[in-house]
Amino acid sequence: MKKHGTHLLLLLGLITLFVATARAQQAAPSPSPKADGTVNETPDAVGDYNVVSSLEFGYRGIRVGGDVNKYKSDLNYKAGPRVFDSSFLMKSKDGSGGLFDTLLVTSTGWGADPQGNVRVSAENAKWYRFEGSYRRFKYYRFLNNFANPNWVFSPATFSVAPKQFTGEHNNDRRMQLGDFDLTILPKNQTIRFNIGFSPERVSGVAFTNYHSGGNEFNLPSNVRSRANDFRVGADGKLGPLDFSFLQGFRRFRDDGTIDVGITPGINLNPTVATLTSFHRDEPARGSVNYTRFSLHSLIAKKLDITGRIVHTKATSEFTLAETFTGRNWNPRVTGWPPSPPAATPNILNLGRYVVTGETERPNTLGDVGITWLVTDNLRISNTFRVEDFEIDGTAVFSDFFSITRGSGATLRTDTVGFNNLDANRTTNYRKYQNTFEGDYQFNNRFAMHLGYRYGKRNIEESFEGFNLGSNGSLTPAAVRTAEIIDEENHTHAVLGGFKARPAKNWSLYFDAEHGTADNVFTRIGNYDYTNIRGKSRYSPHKRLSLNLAVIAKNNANPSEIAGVSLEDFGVSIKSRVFTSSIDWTATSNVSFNTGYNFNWVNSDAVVEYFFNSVRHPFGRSLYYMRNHYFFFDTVARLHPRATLYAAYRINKDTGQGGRIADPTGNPGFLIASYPMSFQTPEARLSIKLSRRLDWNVGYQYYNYNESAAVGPRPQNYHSHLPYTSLRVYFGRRE
Amino acid sequence: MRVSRIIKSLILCLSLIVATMWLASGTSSQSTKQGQPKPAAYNKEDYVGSDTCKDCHEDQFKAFSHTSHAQLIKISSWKDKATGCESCHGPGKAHIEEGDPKKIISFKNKSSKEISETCLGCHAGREEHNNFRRGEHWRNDVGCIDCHSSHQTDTGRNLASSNVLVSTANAQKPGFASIRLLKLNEPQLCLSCHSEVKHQFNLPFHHKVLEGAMKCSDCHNPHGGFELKQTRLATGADSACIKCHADKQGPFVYEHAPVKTEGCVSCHTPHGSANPRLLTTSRVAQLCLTCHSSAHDVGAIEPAGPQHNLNAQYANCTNCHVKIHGSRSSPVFFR
Repeated sequence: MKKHGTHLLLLLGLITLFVATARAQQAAPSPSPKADGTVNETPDAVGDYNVVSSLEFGYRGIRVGGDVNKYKSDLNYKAGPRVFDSSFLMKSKDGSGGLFDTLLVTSTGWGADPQGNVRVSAENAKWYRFEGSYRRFKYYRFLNNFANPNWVFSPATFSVAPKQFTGEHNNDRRMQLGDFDLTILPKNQTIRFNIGFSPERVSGVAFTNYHSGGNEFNLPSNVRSRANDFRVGADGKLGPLDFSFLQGFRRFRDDGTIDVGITPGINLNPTVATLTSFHRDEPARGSVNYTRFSLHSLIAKKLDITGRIVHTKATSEFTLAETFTGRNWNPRVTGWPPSPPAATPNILNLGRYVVTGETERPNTLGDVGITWLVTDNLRISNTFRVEDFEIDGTAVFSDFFSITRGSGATLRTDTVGFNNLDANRTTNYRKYQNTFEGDYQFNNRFAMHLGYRYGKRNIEESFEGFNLGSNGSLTPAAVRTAEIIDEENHTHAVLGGFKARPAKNWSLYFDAEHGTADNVFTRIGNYDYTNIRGKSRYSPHKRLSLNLAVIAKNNANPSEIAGVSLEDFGVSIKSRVFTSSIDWTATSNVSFNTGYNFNWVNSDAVVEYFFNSVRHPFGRSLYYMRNHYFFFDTVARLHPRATLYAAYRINKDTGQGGRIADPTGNPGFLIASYPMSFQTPEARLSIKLSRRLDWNVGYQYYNYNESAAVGPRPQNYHSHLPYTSLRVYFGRRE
Repeated sequence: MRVSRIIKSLILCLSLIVATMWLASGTSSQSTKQGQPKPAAYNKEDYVGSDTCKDCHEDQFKAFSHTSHAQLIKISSWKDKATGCESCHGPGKAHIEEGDPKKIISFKNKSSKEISETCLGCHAGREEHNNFRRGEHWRNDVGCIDCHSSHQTDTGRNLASSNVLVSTANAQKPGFASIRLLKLNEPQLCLSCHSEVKHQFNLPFHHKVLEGAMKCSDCHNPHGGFELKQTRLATGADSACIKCHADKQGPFVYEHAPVKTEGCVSCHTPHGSANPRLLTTSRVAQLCLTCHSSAHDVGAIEPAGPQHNLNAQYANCTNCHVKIHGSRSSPVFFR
């Protein structure tokens, strides 16, 4: 029914656009052919409006070879009717219409695409401006790589054969998003009012994992969540002050459930544990009330001041009720009651968790930015920020277990449970950051800037209550504990750069930043970083543009924390990006667009890991990327009635190359990369049947190949996507 | 208590700023009279009206008349203020009378910042634009007219183009850009300078920007802002990602601290990646271990052995720690 409803809406949309088209056609002026056969036309008219629009619809076929699941995870284009990229623009002839001066509707992806969107923009300059968008995404994931629980570094080192065809976090979900914003009196200088609404809906099936009895279980969960965001506000001018106020309310609810029957565990050892039933309800409700107020003024045309304060209060509450039954309960976990000794098979008659809780997160953000226009050429600015939030979460736990197992020649049943054990986790965060910078315009050809940034962060985490471990504590009895962790760091960075215009049509950009980042939680200490970016844009004439860019980033963490040297515990992440592109409109009938990008990443971190139960305290974790990207697009008018679009794009990452991980060595190292190639040639021929109508025929090919280094079974695929379509024009301009 | 103290301090600071602004407002109006012409300094006799400009600059007038700029004359709050051509080019009387091109403001030889100042004369007061004078584009001398055309943009051409991507060929697609007077449609406009991210949108996993389902400005404010990378905030003070990924917003009893303190980019590359879930590395365990290795007691909690043995079902941390962004009931994110 839902699908039929979608199709019906689609049909109605098409009919609406066709009606508009038909009306536009009635008042169409006659085109005047030029010597080369092309025509320059004025837009079609509907009453007081000019209409410029195109609507394309057609059918796409598909043939996929290889790993269909990977194809669906990446692309998920399907065969069927489809609304291609379409737009509809109405503009009043004299710039002043009735209901609206301008109406623009753009849309693409409806029908057989995994994502579709429609955007509407309407404006009557005097009274209102409306902007709305609706987007729909179909997410599909079924991957045989690291997201698969049975992926292994080397199957030879693992006693249980990997299950290559199961994926832990597969999902098939649908997400719908919308943004609808209305501004009343949009051009009024004194005051403007804003009203907004943004809904979000997520539904579908997603696999999750449950750790129980020393084993893991794939469980399909029914995902169902929704959020509604409402906003009201106003902005305007009060004397020399520009003000803006926004009050928002988001309401969130999660009604996802899990309800499954007999579920074999992932571990296929003979002592496998099995869930014979599992049910979880975890209804959660959340709210976020937020207020934003900002002021701005330009004093004496010299001092630009902006201040903003944002206060958010987020709350959530939930009740979790989980029941499950099973067999072969792992003795390690079920070491209770103390006697008789554990025996198998165990029959879990009932396992039950009930957890309730609530969390509050007030968050305040204050910013002040000041720019002093010292002279026409010199500007000095200072930006200050303070942020503070506290996360205060409390949960109350109860559980109950009943197990029947062998005791000599008979069976015995034991039960255990506890009630109302509470846990409270609090996180306090405070951040100050100040950036001071200046820029100087030497002349129209050269400008430079220089700045300094200081930051201070303090994070405190505390816990009080019963630490119930992963799935709740059984024996020994949970003990009430308390702990506080406090971290503080100070960061400094200098930044600078310039823009130069060596020639009229040549611009060079350069900027660099060096300092310490405030990544308190990513390896506690500050990363020493150096970022450099250079860009060149050269357009010898309007038809040709050459772009070059080089970006280098170095992040290293050899620093010292609390008097402890981290020389042997460092992290070094380096990346280099080179980009080039050429846009060339050779003639009015032929244009080219091509480019090459190289992305190089080396990440090296000293880590502590276990492999085959052996601890490697000073192991290394290495990650490599060596991605080459090349693209080429061309559009050529082969004939006054025929236009060809052709393109080729390829991403090829050689990753770690010949490097092989040695997780068993001493100290041992792990290597990760994603060597693969992903290429897609594409062509489209548009035949002009009439002024109003084009017939298109096109073809696209995708080819994906990955190296065996990614997983035990490469998920290669290729797909053919031929299509044909009709495009209807209004107000066409050649 | 902490929060209320902060709010009080900020309100006090803002009050002081407001008071300063009010005190300075007299200075502001005085200096305006002495300064260059701007809408607030409207002297009716010096202005000739856009219709007069039309006599010599017909093409520009024709294009301009369809923009929302041209509609200001009909709005009451703009009464007695310069609108039309002269709102940017200044009073035209002397230019008309003497025919001297130097008697009118021309932007041909002005720097990006100078040109932007003209636009900011009216647009600086919008919340969206409040930080332009401190933004990345400003810092790198990228001005308003590098992206916008103050006169109407070309209505574009309909060309054959990709059937799945917003390709270069339809950068000038009719109507797309005209609403905000942009020179090109948005993805292409941004990518014409930020070409380094183009390849990321062509990787197997990416946000659907080139498919037209998202725009760069959905996440970034091109006019500057207080956030790094000029990202937007969602629902008050949360990161832009939370706007769509509401299920990650929490708050949770047990939050994975970096989600809120360091931001999503600690683990994800937002534009695109070959790694599923847009992760920064291809193997989850190695990503987690980068922080969760507490040799010398300086890292986050380390995974204890022997169960964290990187074998089989334990190779991927999020196999068990499924609620890695935050959990309501499990301190180790198991459910």
